[in-house]
Amino acid sequence: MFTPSNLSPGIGYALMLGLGVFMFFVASVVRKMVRNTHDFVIADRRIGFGFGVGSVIAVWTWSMAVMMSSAQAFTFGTSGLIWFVVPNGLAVMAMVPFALKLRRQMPAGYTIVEFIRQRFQNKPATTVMLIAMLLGLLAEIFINLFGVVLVMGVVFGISPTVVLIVTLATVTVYSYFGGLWTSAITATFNTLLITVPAAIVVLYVLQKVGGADLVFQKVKAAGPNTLNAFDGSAAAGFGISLALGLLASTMADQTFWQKAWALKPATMGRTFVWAGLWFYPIPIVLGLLGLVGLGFGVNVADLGDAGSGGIGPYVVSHLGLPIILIALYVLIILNACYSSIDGAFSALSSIVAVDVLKRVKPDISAKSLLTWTKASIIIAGVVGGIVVSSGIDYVELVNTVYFLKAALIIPLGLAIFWRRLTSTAFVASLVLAIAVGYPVRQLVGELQGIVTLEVISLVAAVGISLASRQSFDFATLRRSDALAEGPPDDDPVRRDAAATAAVDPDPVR
Amino acid sequence: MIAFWIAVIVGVAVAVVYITLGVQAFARVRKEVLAAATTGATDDLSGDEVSDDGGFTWKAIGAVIFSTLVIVLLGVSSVFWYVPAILAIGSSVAVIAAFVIDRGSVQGERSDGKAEA
Repeated sequence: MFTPSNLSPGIGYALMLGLGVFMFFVASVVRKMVRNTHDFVIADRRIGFGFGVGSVIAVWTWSMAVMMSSAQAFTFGTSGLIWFVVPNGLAVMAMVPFALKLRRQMPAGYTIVEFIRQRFQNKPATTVMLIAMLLGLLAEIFINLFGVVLVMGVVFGISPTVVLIVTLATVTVYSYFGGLWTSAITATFNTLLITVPAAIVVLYVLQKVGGADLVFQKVKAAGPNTLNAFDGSAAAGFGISLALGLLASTMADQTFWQKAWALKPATMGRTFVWAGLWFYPIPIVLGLLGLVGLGFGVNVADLGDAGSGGIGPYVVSHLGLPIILIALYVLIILNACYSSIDGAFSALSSIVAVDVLKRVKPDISAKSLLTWTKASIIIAGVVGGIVVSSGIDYVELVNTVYFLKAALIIPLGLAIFWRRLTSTAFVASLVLAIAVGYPVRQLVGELQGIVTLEVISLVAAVGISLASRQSFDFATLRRSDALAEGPPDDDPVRRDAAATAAVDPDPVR
Repeated sequence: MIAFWIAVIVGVAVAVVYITLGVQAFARVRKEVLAAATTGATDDLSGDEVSDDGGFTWKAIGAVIFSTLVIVLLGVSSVFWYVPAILAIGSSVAVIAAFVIDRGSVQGERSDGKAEA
């Protein structure tokens, strides 16, 4: 049943470049809306409900997420799907209470690192948070680059180096021009190009292999628990550790905090709820491709270096589907990848502007600030290309980074909601949790490691804070009314917005 | 193959509406931003206007239960294997609904502004 399609690599190049040209067109239209660094990194806090929901869905739909849902369904059956999908959507909705609290307390915020700086006024705490954010965003770029390399390799046989160069050049160029506005608008179109094609391709695949009923019978025959959604093997294998890691992936990710501060305040909470709700169908529908592979006995060895992660592209490209449907499937992955990478670029640029450039050189000119903020996107793209092409085991790297990021869940949550948390407790909680949890992960296992990490994190954060009598006044985060009207020097990026308007009305053009 | 062709037709219709509303929303936002640049209007920094989206917990629990149910049903009967495809197109319909709500709220703000003037 499964035979290679032998598609011309030219189709692959056309898809990568064609999508890039479309994105670049959008970026060129958006470009005029960006007058300064403030617009570039926070879109003047004017992102509405429509672009909010559309862009958050796309940014959260990582290329690996759409392929991993197929992979987990292929490996574990419906239990793999349930443990992959349910925590994924919940992670987006879990942002709501944190985002609401912080947006109310710190309405003029830009980055989560900035919050930690103002909350603790402590250099080690800020530095730890800054490093965690930068590594997390770079990991996000690596993992999505890997997704494109994988799909283009399996479907078109294009070399990884060429895919990396074309993808990075494309996404970097269009991200460079419009910042968050470009990211939000292109991501909204990405959502359309992910959801509708996913439905069409999967329905055709089901029909092509003999209908949903035949697949159902074959999956049922493939193993005793393949259709038991509550089979425990997936939970123990990856489910519980993934669920905790995913929570860290949203609340400890500047991509989402940038959105939280850039969305219009009246619809911000609702945006995250809708995005979480309507993200769910994407991995579920694409998971059906994994069940097709499971039912029809695809061997992991057939998937080559890609492993089970390549099952979706393998099924679609080895069933003799019409070229247009294969192209649509590749577009789904490309859209997921492009939107996540440009979201990460945009988030990274906000941290570089607010937490690096303005801290290192407070008197930097408005024009230089914008130039270097945009340049950080190119630098991140080059670093991403070097790391992914270096042959490093980046899946292990990414797993490690996300394991470490999970150490942020408790101290960051407490920093937002608990006035008693001290800077010492914040740093000690992170350091101790990693110092004990990481060796446990390496020596005993993933699940035991992450449970140890979270327990140590909680005990250290609460214990050390209770030993102190300090209490933080969250009102100090809030801008006064006078500041809200714009005295420039309390808000570095806004100050530059004003300076830019006075000196150079539009430094971007 | 009927399900496939229905999905194609509905998908194309949804795409047309989605793109139309998206382009309209973009044009509206662009106009707003460029106008704000001319008048010097600043972004909204009022934390008081942050809406708490009442019933968040129930919506989150409902979403978890519903998505779990959809996956559980995949193991019950092949009939339910068509549900995820319908829901995937539903995700785009949800964004369309968000654009419509957005447009309604912008029109509401404008009429409130006129009434105050």
